[in-house]
Amino acid sequence: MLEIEPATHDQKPVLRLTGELTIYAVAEAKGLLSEALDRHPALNLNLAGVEEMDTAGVQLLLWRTARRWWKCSTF
Amino acid sequence: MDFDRAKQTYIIEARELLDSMEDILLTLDQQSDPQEAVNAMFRAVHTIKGSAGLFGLDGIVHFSHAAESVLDRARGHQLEFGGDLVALMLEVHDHLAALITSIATGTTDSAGTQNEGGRIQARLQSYLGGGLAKNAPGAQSAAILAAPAGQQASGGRDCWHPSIRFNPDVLRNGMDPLSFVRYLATLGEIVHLTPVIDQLPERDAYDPEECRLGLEIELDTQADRATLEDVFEFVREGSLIRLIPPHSRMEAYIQLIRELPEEDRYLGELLVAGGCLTAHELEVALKLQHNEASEGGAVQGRMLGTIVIQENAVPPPVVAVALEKQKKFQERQAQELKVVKVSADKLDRLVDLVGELVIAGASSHAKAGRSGDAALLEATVVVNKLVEEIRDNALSLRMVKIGETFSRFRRIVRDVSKELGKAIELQIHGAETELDKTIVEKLSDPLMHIVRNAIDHGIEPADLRRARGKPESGTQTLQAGHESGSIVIEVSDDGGGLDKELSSEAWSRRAPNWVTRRSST
Repeated sequence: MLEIEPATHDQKPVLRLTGELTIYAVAEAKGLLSEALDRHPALNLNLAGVEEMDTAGVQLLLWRTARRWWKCSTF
Repeated sequence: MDFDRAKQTYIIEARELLDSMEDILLTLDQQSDPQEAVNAMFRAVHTIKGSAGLFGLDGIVHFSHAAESVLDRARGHQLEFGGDLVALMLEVHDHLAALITSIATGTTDSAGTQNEGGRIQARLQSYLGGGLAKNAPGAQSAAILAAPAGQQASGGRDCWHPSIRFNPDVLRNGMDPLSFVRYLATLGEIVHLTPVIDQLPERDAYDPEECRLGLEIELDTQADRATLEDVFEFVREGSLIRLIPPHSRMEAYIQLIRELPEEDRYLGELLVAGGCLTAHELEVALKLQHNEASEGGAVQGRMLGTIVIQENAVPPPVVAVALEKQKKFQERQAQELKVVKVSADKLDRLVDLVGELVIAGASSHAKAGRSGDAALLEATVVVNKLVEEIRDNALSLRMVKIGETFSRFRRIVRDVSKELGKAIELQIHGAETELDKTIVEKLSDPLMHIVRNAIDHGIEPADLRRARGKPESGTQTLQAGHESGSIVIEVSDDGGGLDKELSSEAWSRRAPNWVTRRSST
């Protein structure tokens, strides 16, 4: 199970992910992540609570940062 | 491709890179953009290292890696690029130059060279010491998944290079590419791993359950091809999997670049990041291929095509497309390269032939004049005019700017003045003056003696200068310019001047055309 909840850290928007970021959750996570990123382009992700991640999860995290890849994005 | 020729190219290019590195180091305080200067040095060392890896020159890879790491930290503002570091980098430069020379002459490094290398390396390490943990997680973008990529020079190791583009359905089929990576890690050490994300669709086109990732891996392993192929047994269907064995030549990688869906440049950069190829080698390789193609005509073209067919059993039309793609790439490279290297022999031959052409042209012109045929005479006039233009052009081909020779003296002035404890500034004027290359080369040595002499004996120690009412820092000037049809090269200093009696005798005997002038400040 994956839970995604918005939070703030130093007054900056943070999306906290907890649980399993795997193929089973990526479809749902994509929607939430995409929405949050549209609202805050400079969103920080807190992955401290992620217990398991597979390729689909990694790919999801890379997806919206892909175009900024070489510009040293922080995610 | 002829490996030895590629190596020759490497030696030439490495020397050029070292020259530019030295130039940057010596003019660092005059650079308008110090950051870019450090970047340029980093790129130079990185390229030398990467190419050395390709030729299996482990000594150079190992040594330049340490220097590269230090430069990388300077680039990231973790290190102040100050006087001590400049001095150290100059030593790095000298040592690399010595290593390159020993490769060029085919001699092995002497024990002395090796000791020197070890000593410099130890000092480089002191700049790196302990601070590696400072690299904040995420601060380095490209190498996120990479093993301690910064610490291992992958280029010098015998690595397999698996290149994988997964079938998009691989995740839906219940397989996780990460598990292959984990399994690969049990077969050997993953030296470098770059996820290729170029094929990830933007925004809504992205289906999170499809796998659009690719992997470029450097794997240091003893396993054979069959074992590695077995790893990918279950994903082979629909995926693009290439295994490039250790010690592969550049073609294999270039082939790979052309096969894969991503843009050439992007892939090239990935391979560079993995240490198996440098962007520079890419250019060298394509250039060499191009040269051979123009010399060997269709033969080379057919050979490349044959390789493609053998390796991948692709139908001939695809080969044509691949060659076309390569050609486009070459053309783009050609636009970027504004300088063409031609061997001096070829130029000499051209100049000789043009000389013959001028004579033959003049004789035909004279004969035409005698024949009284006006139309023929007119034609020979046109021909002669063209021949003259060709002659002028051909002769100017050999002309090079003297500035490069001059700037070599920055180093000499710097080193000698440090040695003697004098503060000396080198001023260069007329660096753009052009001279025949052979003359420039021959000038280099005598100029060196003159400059050294001026620094040694001409410019006085600081206290004497003060006593004579001169600024403490001496000035050494190198100047070149045209003067009534000649090129005048002037070496002057604001020192005590030459002993008149001694000098008039010595100079008239040895170099009567050189002007020496007593300076008065």
